[in-house]
Amino acid sequence: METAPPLPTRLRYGSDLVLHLVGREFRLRYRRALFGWLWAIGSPLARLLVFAFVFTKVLPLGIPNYPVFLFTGLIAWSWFQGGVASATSSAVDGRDLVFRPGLPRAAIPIVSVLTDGLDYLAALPVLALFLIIGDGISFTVLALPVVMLLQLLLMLGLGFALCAANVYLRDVRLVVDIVMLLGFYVTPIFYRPESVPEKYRLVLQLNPMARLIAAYRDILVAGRLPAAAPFLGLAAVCIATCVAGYLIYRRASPNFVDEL
Amino acid sequence: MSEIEVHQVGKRYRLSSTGMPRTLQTLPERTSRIEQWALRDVDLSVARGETVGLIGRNGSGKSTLLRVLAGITRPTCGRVVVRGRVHGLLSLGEGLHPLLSGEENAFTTAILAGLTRREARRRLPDIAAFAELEEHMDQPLRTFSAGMRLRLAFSAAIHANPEILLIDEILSVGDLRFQEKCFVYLQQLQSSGVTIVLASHELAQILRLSQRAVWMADGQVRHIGEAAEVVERYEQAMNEGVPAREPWPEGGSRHGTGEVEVVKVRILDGDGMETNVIGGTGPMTVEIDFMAHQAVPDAIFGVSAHALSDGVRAFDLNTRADGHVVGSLEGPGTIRLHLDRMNLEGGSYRLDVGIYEAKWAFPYDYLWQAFPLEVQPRERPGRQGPPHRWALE
Repeated sequence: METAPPLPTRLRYGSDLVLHLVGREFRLRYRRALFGWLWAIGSPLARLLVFAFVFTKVLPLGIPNYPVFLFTGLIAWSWFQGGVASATSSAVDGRDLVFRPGLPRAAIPIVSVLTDGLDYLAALPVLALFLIIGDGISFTVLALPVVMLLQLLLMLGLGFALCAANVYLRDVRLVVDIVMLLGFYVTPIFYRPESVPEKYRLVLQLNPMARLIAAYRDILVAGRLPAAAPFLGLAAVCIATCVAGYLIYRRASPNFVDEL
Repeated sequence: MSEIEVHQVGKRYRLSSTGMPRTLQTLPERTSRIEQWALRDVDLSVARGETVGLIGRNGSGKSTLLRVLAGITRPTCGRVVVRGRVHGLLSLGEGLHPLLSGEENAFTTAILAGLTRREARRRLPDIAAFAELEEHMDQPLRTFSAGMRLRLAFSAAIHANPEILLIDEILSVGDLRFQEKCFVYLQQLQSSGVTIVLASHELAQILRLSQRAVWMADGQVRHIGEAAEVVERYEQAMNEGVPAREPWPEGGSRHGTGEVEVVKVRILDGDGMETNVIGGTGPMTVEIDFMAHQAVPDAIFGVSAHALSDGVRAFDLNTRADGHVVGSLEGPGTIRLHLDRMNLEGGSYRLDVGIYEAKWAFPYDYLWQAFPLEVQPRERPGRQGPPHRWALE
């Protein structure tokens, strides 16, 4: 039982630690690449091109302003997929961090989730460009940080829990990869939720990412605020996931060293 | 008030038989896993500003105890109280990244060691200066030699204002001069009230830094007490497991596995004449003829002396502690230890001569108190006879 320093000290150190590690990870990812962090938007742009071609020319879905519609979903999903997957393996990959005395272990998956968040932020100017070229930017864009915060909480919750599980059972990371692959098609990213037949709608109702992407589209594409009641429900789910994930992680993390 | 209190601590590891990371395939075998107590019934309290050394064979629980003190793993039972900012030099150089510059890596290490970004930035010049890498800090770490990396990691880790410092076998950083510098720095930390717990195989390091020592064996505390006493008992016990050999004609006892043997030991005076009567101020040379019956890649030679009257150790020298690499031995050979000057009290002494395996694992041949040495009284009596002169102004 170590006598802990006061909370403000710990929080200041914790945030410093997280910010530094996030910056370091991000720089390392694009280190020595000629175009540097510009590659952060390379992957969603490439996907955008392919999907936009397929679903406007080959199998037209008839969605107006399709590139913006698609890009909104794509970048949110990329963050989700990348962040949760790297958070899942963060403790196993970051063995040296786990073995560091005095290091707040909660920082480990948080850094993963935030680092992928930087890719999301890097793609935002591109999205803004699309919006300006298209219908213009609505004032509802001001709600973007709120929706992003909810996605962050959801990802942290999942990241904490899956990270702890992966330390004990390395299959978890592999399962996460498959679930993410399927999730891309099950979540209305390149199609409209309304296109899903009525009897399968329940799956969308239960998928918080489907709801988050709908909220992103409300504020960015449609220029309206999401309906209050379902949005509050979504917020509650995200917060609850984060708290539950953290509690699982807090319980499991003191034993990480014995398992790594 | 003691800063570290360990009360009846035990740590049990469950080892999976294969040692592989678990997957679903191995889950059904869960029941067949082996349990092992890495620590058992350990009691220890360390006062503020005290330095305690941990000694014991590999796998005796030293590292596990340090991990428990560091709070990176939870004891299975018992109570651990640690009051203060714990810093651990448990593994050096992890977390360094070859593509980032020396400065970025030092910065990261300092933050991981517990500094905020602002504190870390302020300490960067000190870190670079201590590591003697000022001119290299902007270069990528991949251009650093292994020694430079360790110096950087060590320097960044110790500049993080620790209150309690845990050290595991890492004082063999860099060359001898840098090691000496680390020692001096640790001694400064000691005098500024930092509590240190260090584990080491180098008993000389333990003796130099610690007031008390803990001898760990099979996860339990075998003996705890004043460092010199614990180290001596430990050394004796290390020799016990080794086959005893026919004693030297002059007496004493002899242990060792015999791959390398002491053939003859001569004590020479300043004129190179063989004798066993030496002036209290020296010089003296100990010449050891040995025979390596089979080739060994490296070895350690040691010579120590005890006063016959009270058993107090006069000196204890070995090639490893002096940074002298013996290298591979095969067939006959001779090694000489030159003592240019001594300050020994007159009286009867006994010399111990040993040839050890390169990791101190066991002695090839160890002759305890086998060689008598008479030291002539100096003109002035007294325990010490320091070189001296007077100056009047």
